[in-house]
This record gives sequence, C-alpha cells and structure tokens, in this order.
Amino acid sequence: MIGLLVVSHGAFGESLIHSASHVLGRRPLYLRQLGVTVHDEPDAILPVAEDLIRYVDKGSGVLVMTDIFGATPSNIATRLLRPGRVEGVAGVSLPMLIRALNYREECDLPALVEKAISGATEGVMRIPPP
Amino acid sequence: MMKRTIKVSNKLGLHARASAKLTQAASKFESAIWLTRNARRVNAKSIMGVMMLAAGIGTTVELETEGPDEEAALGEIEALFNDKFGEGE
Repeated sequence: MIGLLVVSHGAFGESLIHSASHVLGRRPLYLRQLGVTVHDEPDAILPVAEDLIRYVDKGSGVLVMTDIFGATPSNIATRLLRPGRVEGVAGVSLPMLIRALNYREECDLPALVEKAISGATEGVMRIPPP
Repeated sequence: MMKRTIKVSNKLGLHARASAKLTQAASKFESAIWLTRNARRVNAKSIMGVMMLAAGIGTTVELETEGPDEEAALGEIEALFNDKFGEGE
C-alpha cells in the first residue's frame, strides 16, 4: 500500500481527509496531512514532514499531494521528494484524494501519480444542464 | 452477460457515500460490472465514475455484469439499490 501525505495551507488537508473519510465510510490508514501556516518556518517544519513520510511509508513509497504549486506548502513538499520513492503532485482536491485512495493498493507509485492527476483533472468540468 | 434496469429509489441518489458502498461491493467480484445512464457507461468499481453518473432519485440506470460471478454480482448490487444503500429513505 502506498502511503499518502497531504501538505497544504492551514486546515485544508485535514478537511480533505475528513471529507474523504466521510465519503468512504472509514478513516483510511497511512494517510496524514501537514497544514502549513504563516507562523511555520520551512526549515523547522521539514523534519516534521519527513517524520510523517517515514510514518506513512509501508515499503511501497509515498505520494505527496500539495495544493498550489509554488506556494510554501508545495516548496516544503518538493524538498521531501525522492524519485521513485517519494513522488509529488500539486492541485490536490477531493476527487484527486479519493482516486489516490482507491488505487494505492493495486498501483505502483508511477501509476498512482497518473491516477491522482487524472482523477483531479476529470473532476473539473462544466456541470451538464439538468 | 446479464443486464438489469434499476430505478434509483433512495432520497440522495447515487451520491458520494452510496457510490462508495456500490463500488466497494462491486470490487469484491471478479466479473466486469458496468452502470449506464443517458449513454454514459462507467465501471461500477470506480467511485469517481459512478458519481459522474449524477443519478438522482427517480432516475434509471442499467446494470451489466459479465464474468464468472456475474449472477451473484448482479443480485448483490441490485439488492443495494433496493435497500436504498442502507440509508432508510
């Protein structure tokens, strides 16, 4: 099972996890989040993030999901990446998280990266008229 | 291959949690399972696919199963719809 870590602004990651747990009817294992606030110094919070990576890594690697590419949470997430072992995607959303949760047992890490991205992009659409 | 037309009877329709229940049930079977509504055909084992049907109360969906356990799969998923996904309304 691939571990999942959401690194995002404030309480966004925790809200995403709450919402995904509500949809799936259970709180998924090896899914953690790190909420970054204006008070957090990136150098100081990095060891906390690395600790979470170690916690969620069950041997199949970790997918780090962040919100806005280039923002501080994303810059922290970037420093966590280890090609092939810890991969990252930006633009995390509820469709992305649910897609990742659904495929992390059957996919390897490169495939899960693709699944997460397609889940997020397919979740953006104009709502068809009733 | 087996087919059944099913009317969505629970108040919230195939909303997120109902879709999760459906895909969890469907994933237990070896057979391929499809749901179709208004020419959109999705894999019933994919929660995002099932939600994309946006099937509300009163709509009809077509359930198709194909594989070694197609009969059991059809029965169990139809029962979920009939049980209103355990939501009581």
